[in-house]
This record gives sequence, structure tokens and C-alpha cells, in this order.
Amino acid sequence: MTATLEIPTFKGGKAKAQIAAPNLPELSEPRDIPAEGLGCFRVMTEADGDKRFTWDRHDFAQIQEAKAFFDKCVAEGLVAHRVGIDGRASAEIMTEFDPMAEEIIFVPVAMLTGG
Amino acid sequence: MVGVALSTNTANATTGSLYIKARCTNATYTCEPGGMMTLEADYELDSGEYTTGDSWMCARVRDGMSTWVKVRNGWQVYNDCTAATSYEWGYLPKSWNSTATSTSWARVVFAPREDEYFEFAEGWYDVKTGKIIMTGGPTAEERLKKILASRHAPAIITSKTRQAMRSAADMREERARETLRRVLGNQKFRNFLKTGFVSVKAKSGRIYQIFPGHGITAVYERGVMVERLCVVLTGNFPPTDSLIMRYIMVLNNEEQFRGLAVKHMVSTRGTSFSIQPDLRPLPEIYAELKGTRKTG
Repeated sequence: MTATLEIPTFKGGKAKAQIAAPNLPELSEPRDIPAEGLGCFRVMTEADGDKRFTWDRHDFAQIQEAKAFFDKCVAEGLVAHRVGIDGRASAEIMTEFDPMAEEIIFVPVAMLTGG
Repeated sequence: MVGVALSTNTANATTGSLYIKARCTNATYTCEPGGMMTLEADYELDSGEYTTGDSWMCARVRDGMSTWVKVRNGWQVYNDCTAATSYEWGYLPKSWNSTATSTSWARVVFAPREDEYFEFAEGWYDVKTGKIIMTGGPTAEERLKKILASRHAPAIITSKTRQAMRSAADMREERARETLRRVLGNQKFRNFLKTGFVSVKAKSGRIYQIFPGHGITAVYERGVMVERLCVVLTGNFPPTDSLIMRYIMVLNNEEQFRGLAVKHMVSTRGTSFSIQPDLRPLPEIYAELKGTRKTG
């Protein structure tokens, strides 16, 4: 059975969207670092803090899978940010999937509220 | 077309070809809905001492039927590729294009091939021996720097008013800090570990001082705190995740952040008195002090 990620859909509500986890290798240990040539998704989830999936930047099958997952997350309201361009600090918003990105963080903006 | 003359790779049981999924420079992927992909890539080809005699580097879809496409210092377009497609590389006799100049060895940047794994690296494909000679990659100095950087412990310098961050017991917090390091860069991350907060300058010029967890975000203009904003990350997230979200939002969408925030008053405690500066000339002050010592 494919694992699913629970993503909050809107502020203040308890409804969550279920996104099927991609069929990509997952980094489970906190200190695991993606190997050279791999891109990495970080999806912030309440249960795990974040989930990290990697894709081979030169494998068409994994690129397709990663793009499909990217599109699903964006459609559910997550905002994608590109992190660490060429090793430098960055956090620019992405509207389209770039298979050559080093790391992409999905931020659930719906979970931010005034306090 | 003249028949293909492929090299023989002694390391591969398959006769006739070395199957390489090449990693190219300047690769551009275009993926259409439905999974059809187009790859455009640039390959580096140099001339050199090694010579195959008369052959061109070429490539084709690995289906045994596709047309060989010559690859030389230019863009080659493969249309209608599917995800499962792999490509093979080989050499064609130069007589295929009698007007071409000689090309000696080809420098191929390659990725894993099907039945044997090579780490991403640059290498020379030696047609004579059928082996890939690894070159390039990080220098010894770069590798040493990387090793040393990985051994750096968080700063332990403390001040009387604020203590450095300690190691997190929660694995999720560890991951969040690793993410924060990539977002901020090493230098700013070290400062965060020392001071316990992150400062970010928004596009408006305001500076936001962000603490992890549910801390208030202080806003400064021209060095003076003008606002205290409270934005929280609902849910059971580690403290540093909250900091990351607020940092990214301030950086990319300050107005949305300010729209979400509950604004709190700036405290004026401790600033109600003022000290009048002594504007007398220094020799006069010194003389007075000297005089005080003599009489004291």
C-alpha cells in the first residue's frame, strides 16, 4: 500500500489532503544527505516534521515521478521553495518543477496563523 | 548510412556496446503532460592524442532500430522520449561524413549504466580498452575542506544573556536544523546556533528578528524596534520548522506575513530615562578627575 502524506488544506480547519508519497527513495535518517547528483524534496508534515524524497537528476523515470509529485503538492496548496542553489543559501519560490534543482521545500502556508 | 562500428566493452557481457546513460552539460528537459519528454543536451568533445582512426561519437535510443545521431559540439534533440528509454553510444566510421575533421577521443560525462554502477563523475571513455577512466571530481583540498566542515561542532560561545543552542533530542528538530542550515548558509547558521535567532532583511528594508518556536518576531527599522509580530505554526512541528516557515515567508512574501500576524506593542520599559552626555573638553574632565583623586 502506497504511503500517503497528510497536508492541511486551509487555515483553521482540520481537513487534510492526502497526497500519495512518490515512488522515490526516501531519506529516513535526519543526518542522511542526498548523494551527488540527487535532488531532494522536503515536505513538512506534522507527524514526521518533514519527509524527504530524492530523485536522480538524470533518470527520466524518477524525473517524471518527481514532477508528478511536485504538481500534486502545488495543486494542494503547498508552496515550493528552491533551497541551496549551487550550495549557496536561497529560498526562492518555484512555480514549475526543475529537475536540476538541488533541494525543494514545500511550505504549508495554511498552517501559519497569527498568535 | 555505413554500418555502425561499435567498441567492445570487455567489462560488459553484452557484445558490441557500452550502454551509458550520459550526463550531459546544459541538459534541458521538457516534459509534456502524458509523460512525453524532450531532451536537449550539449556534449563536450575535444581533440587529443588518442585516436580511433576515423570515427564519430554518436548516440541513439537503445532499441536497436533508431537512427544513430552524430554528436559533436552541438545540440542534439531526442523527441518523444519515454521515461523508460535509455540510450547507447558508439562510434561511426568517419567515412559517414567525409567532410568532417578528425575527432580523437571523446570526453563523456556519464551517469550509471545499466548493469554496473558508477558514481557521478567525469571520465574518459577509452575505446581501445573499453574502460571508463575516472577523472575530475573534487580535488584533495576540496575533499579535505568538506571533511573538516562536517566535523565542526556547533559554537559553544555563550553570553550572559543568551545561551547557545544545544543538540536537539527530537529527531525532527535535527532535520529541521539541517534544513535551516541549507536555507541560511553555514555562516548564518553558526550565528543562529550562537545567538538563538535569525535576522532577515525583507524587500521593504525592515529587518525581522525571528526566534524558533512560538516566539515573537521583532521588526526593526533603522536599528529601532518598531513592532512585535506574532505568527505561529499550528500543529505539532519542531521549533525550528516554525522559524524556517516564517523566514521563508518574510523573504518571499512579507505582506502576507504581516497580514497574518497579530501585532503587539513595543515595550518601552527601561528606556524612560536619558543620560546627558558630558560635552566638556577632555583635558578639563581629566583635570577634574585628577583633582578629585588628590583630594580623595
